[in-house]
Amino acid sequence: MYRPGLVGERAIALFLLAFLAFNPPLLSIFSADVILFGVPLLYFYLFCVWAGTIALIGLHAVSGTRAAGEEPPAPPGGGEFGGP
Amino acid sequence: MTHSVLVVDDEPHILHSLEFLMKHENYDVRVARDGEAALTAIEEKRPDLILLDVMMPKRDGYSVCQTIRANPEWQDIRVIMLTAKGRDIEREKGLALGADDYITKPFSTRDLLKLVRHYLEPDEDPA
Amino acid sequence: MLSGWSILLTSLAYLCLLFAIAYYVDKRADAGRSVIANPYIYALSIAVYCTSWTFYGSVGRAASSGIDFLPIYLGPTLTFVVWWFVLRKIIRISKAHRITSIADFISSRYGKSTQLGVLVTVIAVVGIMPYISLQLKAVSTSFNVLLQYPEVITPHPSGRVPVLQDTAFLVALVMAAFAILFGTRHIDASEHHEGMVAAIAFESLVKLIAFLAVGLFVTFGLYDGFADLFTTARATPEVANLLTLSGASYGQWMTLTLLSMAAIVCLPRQFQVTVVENVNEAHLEKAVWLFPLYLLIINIFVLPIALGGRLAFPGGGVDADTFVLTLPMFDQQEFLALFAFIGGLSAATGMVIVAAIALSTMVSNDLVMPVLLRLTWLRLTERGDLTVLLLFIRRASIILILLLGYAYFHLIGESDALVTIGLVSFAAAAQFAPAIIGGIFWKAGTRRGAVTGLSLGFAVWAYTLLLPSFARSGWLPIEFIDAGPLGMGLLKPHELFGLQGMDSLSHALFWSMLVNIGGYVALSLRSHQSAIERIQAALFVDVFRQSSAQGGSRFWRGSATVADLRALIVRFVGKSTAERALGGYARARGLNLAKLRQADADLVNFTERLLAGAIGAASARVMVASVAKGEVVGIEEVMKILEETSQVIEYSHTLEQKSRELEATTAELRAANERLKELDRLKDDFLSTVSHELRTPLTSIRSFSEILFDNPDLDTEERSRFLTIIVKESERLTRLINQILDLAKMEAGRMEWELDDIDPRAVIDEALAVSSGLLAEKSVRLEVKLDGHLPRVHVDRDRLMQVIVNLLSNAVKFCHEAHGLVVVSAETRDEGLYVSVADNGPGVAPENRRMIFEKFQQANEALTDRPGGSGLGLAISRQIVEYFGGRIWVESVPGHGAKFAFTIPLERAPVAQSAE
Repeated sequence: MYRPGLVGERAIALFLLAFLAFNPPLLSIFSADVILFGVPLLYFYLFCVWAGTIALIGLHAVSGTRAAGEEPPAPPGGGEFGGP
Repeated sequence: MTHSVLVVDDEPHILHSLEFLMKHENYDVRVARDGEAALTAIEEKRPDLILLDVMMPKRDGYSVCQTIRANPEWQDIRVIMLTAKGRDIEREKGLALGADDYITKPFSTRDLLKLVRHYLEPDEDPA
Repeated sequence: MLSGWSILLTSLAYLCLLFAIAYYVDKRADAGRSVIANPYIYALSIAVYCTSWTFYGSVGRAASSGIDFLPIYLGPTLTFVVWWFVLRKIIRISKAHRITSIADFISSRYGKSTQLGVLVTVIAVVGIMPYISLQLKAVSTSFNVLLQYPEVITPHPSGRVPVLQDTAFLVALVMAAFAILFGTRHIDASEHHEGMVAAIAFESLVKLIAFLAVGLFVTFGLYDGFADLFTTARATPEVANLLTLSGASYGQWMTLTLLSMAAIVCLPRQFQVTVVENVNEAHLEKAVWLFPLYLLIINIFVLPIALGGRLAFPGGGVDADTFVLTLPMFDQQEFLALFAFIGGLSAATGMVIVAAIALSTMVSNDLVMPVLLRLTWLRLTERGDLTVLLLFIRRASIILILLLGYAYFHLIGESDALVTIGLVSFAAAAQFAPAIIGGIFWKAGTRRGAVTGLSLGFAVWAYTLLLPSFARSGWLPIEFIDAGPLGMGLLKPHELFGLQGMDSLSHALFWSMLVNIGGYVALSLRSHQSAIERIQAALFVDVFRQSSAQGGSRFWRGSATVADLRALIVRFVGKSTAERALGGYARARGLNLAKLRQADADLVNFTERLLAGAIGAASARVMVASVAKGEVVGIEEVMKILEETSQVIEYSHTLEQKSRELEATTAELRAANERLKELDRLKDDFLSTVSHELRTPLTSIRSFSEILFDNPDLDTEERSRFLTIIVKESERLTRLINQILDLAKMEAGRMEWELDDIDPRAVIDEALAVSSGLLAEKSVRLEVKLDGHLPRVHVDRDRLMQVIVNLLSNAVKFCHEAHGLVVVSAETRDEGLYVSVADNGPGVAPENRRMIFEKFQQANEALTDRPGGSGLGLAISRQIVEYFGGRIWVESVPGHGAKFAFTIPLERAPVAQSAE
């Protein structure tokens, strides 16, 4: 089960991981003259990590908000103002 | 035959007056000044009726009454309790412990005599 | 076929479509049926991040240096990873405080400072200028390239064309017109532009599809897919290096990542769409992964198009920034080329419209209005409807901003690549990051810190990035870059203070951030926050701890009438909106504003927030202050509030103490009640005992009286004996009654005492004399041991004698039957006069030594042979002795007699409490 505190911790962990993966020196390992599935290794690596990161954000965003149990404030519009 | 009466009270003057009254009625009267003495007197010779004061040193009237009723041979001894404490609870307690009747000090000598007569000579009771 | 007119008409038709969308959505929103209230449109609107820079520039960048176009999109993804901390918080704060722009946000955080609002606005306008010029350049270049169809040539920078014939100028005017149409049709208290958001979202779709179409065309039309394209590129020496990352660009890679991380939050237009235009915080939840996904998709084909371009135009004769357009043209795909142009136009107009609206809001709310409001001679605070003025300011500023963009383009734009221009703007926007991030996480950040950091950062940015761009285009001598101003090498803008080995962007970012963060932190630590700063800092940093979105400082004091506030709102947002807002306010709180004259702090705050939506926090504060007679609390008042708080705390402490005292009192009362019950029981016992004690002599008296009455024939001796008993018992009865009365009097304090200095010896002698009969009757031996000299005592003589007689009769009563001995002694001790009466009787058990001084207590204990005893003697003696200030007690060894003793102090007044 999620604890609200965990949402933040996971986000930070993912941030650090992605930051490392997206930047040199880790990047330089993949900066080789290699073609993988017809695509340069570096290119392939970056887009894969990127896609993975996005997937993880999506997963955490959904479960995170629910775990936090915090209802965002109702959208304005019907509230103090009848309309814009 | 003559009825025997045992008078028990720690107040010598009251004892004196009761003794006089009973003798005047021609009962066979003995006296005791405390509970222990009373029980000794009963064992010595079973009386027909006991006038028993409640407030006494060594052994109070209730205790004496209880002891009497605990002895099967003494079941038919009449016990009239005397007390100077006027509360109903004392009366209830006395009757509950097996006293036949109860009389409050200061009493009318005539009433007392009537009561004693009632228990000793029921046949002659006019009521 | 693709004539200038057809391109123009297509473009105009496209722009009209955009406007139609915006118009329709606005109408729907007015009718209360929002179209944009879903996370997908929200995510697409955030994609305004992708401008011509992405559409054209990325390809250009990729064509020259390979994959390092990518960090600009990886950075935002990283920022969105930590959306939970950053974006969510900023949005929550902005909603609570009705933030209208990034300038408003920063100024509001640091005490609603006008100065900061102005500073941020200036930085934003100057900083974004190159970025707008980039869009103008892209549109005009792409237009000019497309015009050449079917020739594929890059029109040469044609020198200085007259402004009115310059495509870029026309583009700027058209865009200004659209921005005005989209963004400033009316003044809106909530500052939402739903129509604009919808149009932007639509544009994001168009540019994505257009770019993908070109990408697919290049990858699968010109080549047989990725493998074919990449293999071909790898085999071509001059292109192969684009597939890997050269070590030299590592530093810049990191710089670009960091820069774009900041930009996605700090760029005014990103702040506008992400924060200000957010209609529902929950949309963020989906947008945080949808937007990075959009970035990923649009970037897939950047490198393929760049490679395709490099391979198709090997000589370098075609500007790489135009590959998206020129590749379809090269293959005679005129419709694809037109579509690509529309895509690029989409990307450019989207950015320009949002940026212009965001900047114009800042200019009007945070720059012009505060200044105008301060110009008292304008009497603006007293004028009627200000909505017209506000709209005018915004429209004028939109035009001005675009003209500035055009000017920058006209002066400089031709010399730099698109990405280079864009990065200058990114670096400017990044200057806001310390003030924002510090502002939402660090309460101690102060206004002075923010002002200092921003100013220094901005100055360094201008010196290291802006001025060199002027120099490169010939507006400043090129020696400024090469040798430093006036030949001072240490001040070379790309090698400031001798810092070498970095690209110019990293260099600029390093220095500007160093002074920015350094200045911000150092000054924040050194300067003190004002009251309002402290309040705002707490409201911002602790936004999630506040129970509701009701933000705003609650520390307004002062008075304003409802009518004043109403008039104020009407002037800035118009009558109908004002009535709606106030009506909603009143309904929500169950108030009737018509009946209310004096506005409370809540309404004042509400008004301020409402106005903040229209004119920004700082201006709103000035305006509200002009009608609310009070002012924002000073530090003294805050201290006073704190003091009051501490008083409240004190008060609550007092209350606690009182409640503790109450508890104690309750406990005491309970104890007292127990004692009373005990007393009641004792009283009951007492009455029962008194009854017994009275009835006993009465019984004798009555019995003998009746005997005498009923027996007139009794002999004389017996008669006299009986009469003697009656007399004795009557005496006993009298004595008892007297004692009871004495005791009752003494306990009630109504005893009459006749105090006098008396000689105790005489009293003792007299008591012995009185008791001699009793002693003789019992044959008790008496020993008297009196000291030669006994001090006089101040007592009631009769009562003292009563005590001694009581003790003597008590001793006689309890002493040994056969060999009774009573010892009376008196002496002087420290405590005063000491008198004791000892017997040789059975003694008193330790547990009874206190009890026997209680009334009738002895009656319950040992009644054996107690002639004439009432059980009250010792109780009365105790009362008397204690009244004289002394004490009475008994010492005894059981079986060896008891010694009753009492003391009476010398030269001591009687205890007052009992004396009436």
